[in-house]
Amino acid sequence: MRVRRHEVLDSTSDEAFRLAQAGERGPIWVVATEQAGGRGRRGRAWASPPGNLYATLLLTDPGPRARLHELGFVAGVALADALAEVAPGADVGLKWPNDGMIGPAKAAGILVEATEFGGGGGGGATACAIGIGVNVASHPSGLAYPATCLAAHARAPRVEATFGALATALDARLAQWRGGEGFSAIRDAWLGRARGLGRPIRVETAKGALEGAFAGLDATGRLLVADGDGESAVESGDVFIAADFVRARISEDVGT
Amino acid sequence: MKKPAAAPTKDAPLDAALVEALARIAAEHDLSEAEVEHDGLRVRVARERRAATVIHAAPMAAPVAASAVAPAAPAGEESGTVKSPMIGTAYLRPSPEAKPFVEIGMAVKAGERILLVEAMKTFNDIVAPHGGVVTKIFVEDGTPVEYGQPLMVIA
Repeated sequence: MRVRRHEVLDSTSDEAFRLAQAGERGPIWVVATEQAGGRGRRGRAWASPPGNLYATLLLTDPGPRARLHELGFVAGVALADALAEVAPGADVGLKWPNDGMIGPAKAAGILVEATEFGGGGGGGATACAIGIGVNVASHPSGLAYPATCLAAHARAPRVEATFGALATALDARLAQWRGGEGFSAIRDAWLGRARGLGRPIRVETAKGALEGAFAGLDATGRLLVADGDGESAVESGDVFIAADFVRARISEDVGT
Repeated sequence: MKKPAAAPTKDAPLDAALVEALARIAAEHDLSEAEVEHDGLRVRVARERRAATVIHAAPMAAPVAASAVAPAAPAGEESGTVKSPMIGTAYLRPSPEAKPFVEIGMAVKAGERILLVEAMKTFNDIVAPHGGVVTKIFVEDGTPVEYGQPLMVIA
């Protein structure tokens, strides 16, 4: 396993794409002690002080382009494997599609990004960056959802041990996925770790919010939300499960 | 062939079966369209080239006639049309506050990022397959797109 380590980066995924542009094909990990511009979904910031893990795995053409979203589940399941190893006995779970949870709080996040090199339209190579942030020593507060860190659940967790567990787990889960052929096993493993199955959830999408019961995943990984009229499949959005969803609604009601 | 799971409504078993049957007939005979009318219910299935048959999950109690129709490519598709390589949500800008990647009238080079498609929190850059000027944008920021759906025209 090849690893490039840095003290400070803007973002490990940005660095991975710079490497890809310069001809690097991976697999290679980019790890930083801290990030100046850690990113989440849709340009949101990911707090990145020293003491936590910031790592990106760069892959080239890991599978068919239309199946690359499955990597979010592959990485999610590997992340849960790693959290369970580093914090034995902790209540580790996954919130759709790939937030790493301990108890009701978020301990880790994943952002998968893909881009094409050498000509668009499917002719070139696809570089894929799986960016993972794990709150090891600390976690931010004042977010729209509860957050936690490994230090609250394990004795003296180390960034290096967390990275080792994660890299090993992701390697094994990628082998199980086999470019998409093994996705049903990944999906099953994901459902085994799912947070909020059968419970009320709220999904906020770019086109509005949806409320209902979390009924599972369809064959491609979309979130199934059931209400009185039937089931809807959601492929993009922010998920709020019971407790945090009630909290969000209360803060809406009081107009904050 | 990927097919979104149909959203079962009270009338769904019949509707879903009809759509399935039509899709099968259309695929077997390589038809671009198949339509049937029965008891006042009209179902049309449209296919695009050799791409997957697109059957929308019927959103709640929407009339089947409307929901079974694939988002058709504009008649007589223009050359220079860029299509979505996957199902997902299209974004014209990197974040809600940012400037769009491209705008109508803008010149782009081959390989330049023109759009993002998010599929289950995986963000895929869509890059220009060829250089030219953006003459049409078919999608809005944050709209769902199907496999093979035209996104924009670079002429």
